[in-house]
Amino acid sequence: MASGRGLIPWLREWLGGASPWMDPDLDDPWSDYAPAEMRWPCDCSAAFRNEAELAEIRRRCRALAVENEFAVNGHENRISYVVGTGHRYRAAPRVAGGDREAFSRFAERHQAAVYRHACYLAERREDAEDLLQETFLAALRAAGQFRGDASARTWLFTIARNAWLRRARPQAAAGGEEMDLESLAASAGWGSQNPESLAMLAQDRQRLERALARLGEGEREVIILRDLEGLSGEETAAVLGISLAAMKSRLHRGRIELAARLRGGAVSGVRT
Amino acid sequence: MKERFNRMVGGLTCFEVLSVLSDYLDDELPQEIRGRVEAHLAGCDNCAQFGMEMAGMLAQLRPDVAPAPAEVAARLQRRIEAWWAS
Repeated sequence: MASGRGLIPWLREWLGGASPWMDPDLDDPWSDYAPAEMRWPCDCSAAFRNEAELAEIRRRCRALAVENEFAVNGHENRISYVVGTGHRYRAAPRVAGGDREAFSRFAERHQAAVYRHACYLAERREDAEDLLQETFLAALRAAGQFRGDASARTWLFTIARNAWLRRARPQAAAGGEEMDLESLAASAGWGSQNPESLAMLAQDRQRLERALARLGEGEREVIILRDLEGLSGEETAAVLGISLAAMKSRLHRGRIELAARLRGGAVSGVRT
Repeated sequence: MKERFNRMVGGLTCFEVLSVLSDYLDDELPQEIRGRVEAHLAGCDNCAQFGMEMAGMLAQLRPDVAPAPAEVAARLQRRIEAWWAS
């Protein structure tokens, strides 16, 4: 009978030692990887009663791991695992196993995106850096609980956002009535004969940042996550803790308002 | 202005196209609606121009990919090391 005591060292050795997996190219934060492709049945947990059954689970997992990433959590007589594409399941189990180097690499890979996101959340660079550190320390503490049901960036951005919400001053209630979409779009150039190019206006990063800063908090967040950071719709909704439909609605309005702000158009009645 | 934007082209009004423009640009519309939007855009200069403008703006939004400043990254690594040591 295999015992939990014997299982965990094996997992640590396997996850931290020689691996058949290739490191994906993570230098490009826009690199694409399937965000939710699971190649294992949804019930990612299996019991084993003896060494032979455990060996069979290992064999199947190893076969899958040749092409996939793999995270596993062993218990007394039960082995839980998730399998998916990309890198997202990799760092957490290693960190959970006490692998300092794995976490350092994980931080190196994602620190630029988290710092950039923190800079959008916080106005001051010192606050952004505090938020960056707070995010990774929280990730470090929680790595043992991360089961790969979100991408690494979704997970980190969610931590950063929650940390920011805890420390940010309460926002004043939005004032005034919202402008209807049609009028807002008109301010954004809808119907103008020869409007100035929005792409040209957005190329001016200072102008873009000013326009973003003047959006309502909800619209600004959704545009940063979806359009600037490139999260998927589902990931963006997950970070914000809202439904996909609500995210889309907010995104659409936010984009049009951003266009209006870039043009310096009249957006009276919209939050300022 | 209302009249101008209430044109029915391709089975959709201008406002209906405006309402789904983000989904169209994100390629998240069902095929049937997508076809109607494209038919509208093909016959409505106003909406086609606005759609292109919005697409151009979105294409500019992705930031230049730059690493975190070296001193920021170094301080983060020191905090992480300190956590492990604690």
